[in-house]
Amino acid sequence: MRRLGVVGAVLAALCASTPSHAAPPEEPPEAIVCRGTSAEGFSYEWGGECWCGNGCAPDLTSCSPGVCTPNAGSTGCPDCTHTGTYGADCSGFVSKAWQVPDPHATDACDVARYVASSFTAEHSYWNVVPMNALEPADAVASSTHVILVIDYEDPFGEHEVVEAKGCIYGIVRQSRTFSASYSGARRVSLSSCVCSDGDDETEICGDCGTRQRTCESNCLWSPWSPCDGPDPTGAAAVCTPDGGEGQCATGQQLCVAGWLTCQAAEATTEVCDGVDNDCDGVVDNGTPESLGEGYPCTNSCGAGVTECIEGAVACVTPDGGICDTTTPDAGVDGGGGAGGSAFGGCNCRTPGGPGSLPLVGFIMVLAWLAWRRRSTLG
Amino acid sequence: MCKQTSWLSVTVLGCALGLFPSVGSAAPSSGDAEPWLFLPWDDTVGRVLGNEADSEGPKSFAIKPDGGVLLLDQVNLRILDLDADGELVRDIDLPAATFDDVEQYDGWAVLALDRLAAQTLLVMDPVGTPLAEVGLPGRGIDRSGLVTAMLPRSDGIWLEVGHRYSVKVLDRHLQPCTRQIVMGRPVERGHSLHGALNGQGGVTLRRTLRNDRSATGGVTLTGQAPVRRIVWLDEDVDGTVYAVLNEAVFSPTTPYRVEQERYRMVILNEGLQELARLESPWVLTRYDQRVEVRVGPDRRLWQMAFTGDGVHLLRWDWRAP
Repeated sequence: MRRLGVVGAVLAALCASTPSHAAPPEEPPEAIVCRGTSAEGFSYEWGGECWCGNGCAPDLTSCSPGVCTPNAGSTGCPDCTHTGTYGADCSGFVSKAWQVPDPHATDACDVARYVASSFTAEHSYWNVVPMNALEPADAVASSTHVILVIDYEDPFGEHEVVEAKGCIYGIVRQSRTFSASYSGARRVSLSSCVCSDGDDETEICGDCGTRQRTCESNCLWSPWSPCDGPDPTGAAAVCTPDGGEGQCATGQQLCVAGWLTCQAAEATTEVCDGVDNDCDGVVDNGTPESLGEGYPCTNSCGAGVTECIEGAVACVTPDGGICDTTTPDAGVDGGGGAGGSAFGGCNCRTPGGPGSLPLVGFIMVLAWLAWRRRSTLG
Repeated sequence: MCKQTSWLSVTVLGCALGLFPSVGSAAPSSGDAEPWLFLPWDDTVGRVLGNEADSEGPKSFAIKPDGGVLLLDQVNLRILDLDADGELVRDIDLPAATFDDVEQYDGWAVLALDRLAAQTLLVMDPVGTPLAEVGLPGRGIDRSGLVTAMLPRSDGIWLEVGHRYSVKVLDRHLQPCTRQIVMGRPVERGHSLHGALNGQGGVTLRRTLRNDRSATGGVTLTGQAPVRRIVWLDEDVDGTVYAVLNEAVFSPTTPYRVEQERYRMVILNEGLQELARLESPWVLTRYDQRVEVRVGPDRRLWQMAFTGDGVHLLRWDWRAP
């Protein structure tokens, strides 16, 4: 909020000048977080501060959220119109979540509250805290806006928050970061002990696994652990991923971050094995190197070069004969990888189609024979 | 002053001639950055004089394969499609002002994400014709407000949740698919990037095969000051890794203001060995935004930064001598 609404200003002035407010109730941070999350989905109302909750969840049935509409030519409040009973602006929301300056039920409308900038300075009801030490139930405020933090920082340093974001958004729950224009505040009268040392709690995650938290020595709960759980086993471990081709068309069911997911087999280098290893929809279409093709070899039919035929590396002689009693010569690894090898057995045959000897292979054979002849003579 | 007088007049040349960024007292030195474009508030982009929570500057931007930029001007219900010279090609209309991220997919689709209101991902063709729309809540995404990044990859569109894991919501044909989930941020060639503050002022980075729980190792990055936040983490087409870190020093006394901060840009190879470091003085301001940095197809780091005068687009070439 850049300016106060009239109602808000009057109430804020009352807040600031009236010394007889009750201290905030002694309660754990979880109670504030619950009150805050119960506002999600209610409308933004300039100068408003009420909504209905059912535990930690919003009650959008008993109490219909209002509707905020920017006036013609405007993009937001205060040049806006609100209809309906319930709604809050940013500072009305945090004031009510924090129960300051007085404790009221969340559905109590038109009660005293503070303005956003109030939360940037020390106060008898809250203390300013460093932005790099925020905890759930803290507030983060600038001169124009205030936000309720509801979780510890995530791996990147952002926080989950609830905030009355604006007329077109309403009260939202999201992950966000804060610029240096924000400062942190922590309400007083937070219960100093909310659990017993050694206690632990477990929650079920999405559709697999759990998360845990433990009560630490300061008798406060630790942050929740990430969701994790064992992967399915046996028949339940096999799955078919969407759109996978070749060996990527089969997958393994995993439990990831609390959700079952079909993890496709990884695409690998295409080798000569009758399998679409690189998952491009074509079998055995790798490079000569990856397929183990073009290497000199000998078999009972004579000297030849290796070629990938029907998922196996065969030795093909210049006349087109294949004999699978093949002796690979130096440098031939039997197929360039994990693929099958045709070395073994002895049946000379004439390949057709893909089995035809490539010219390059034939040239290599000739070159190899010449080299061998020179070596022998030498 | 690098300021326009007409709608989207190109300021590239003026900026490149060193006039940039002497725009208002809040503009830092451009450092090693190449200023690319400056757009003043209100009359060209955004609405800085809002009365509600945040300003309404562009929440996000994306780099197109041709070197142009998509700028999410959500408050004006549009995406600005700019060519490689910064000239306006077209406005792409948006149905609402609540979109907060934009991306492009392989040059033929524009993606607009509305996490908080409609909670949808809108797919459009390059001129803005809607092609598809997918709801965000569902398997892997309990709360759409916790989506922390939109990641177009060759195998589809992934949404990162809480900076912990990512959910594939559209396949490579941009059709809804059975949702896959991987830890970290998926990158190409079956890998993922993982980044996390280490609680000691540094950041731990890992690059693993997707969902490889046996992977160990990684590197620890530190800066000249404690790292407060990982601003961006991504990989380019060649497997080069880019980590942008927000270093900040807080006053030890109340109200614990930030005394100094900067962005440390660390470039690493796919084995996570450092190749280069850059320093950006441009940081998040009170004019909040969601996406500040992108890795372009030109392997440059692009940054969108705000000052009191307007929106700055800068790019950083880490290979420059």
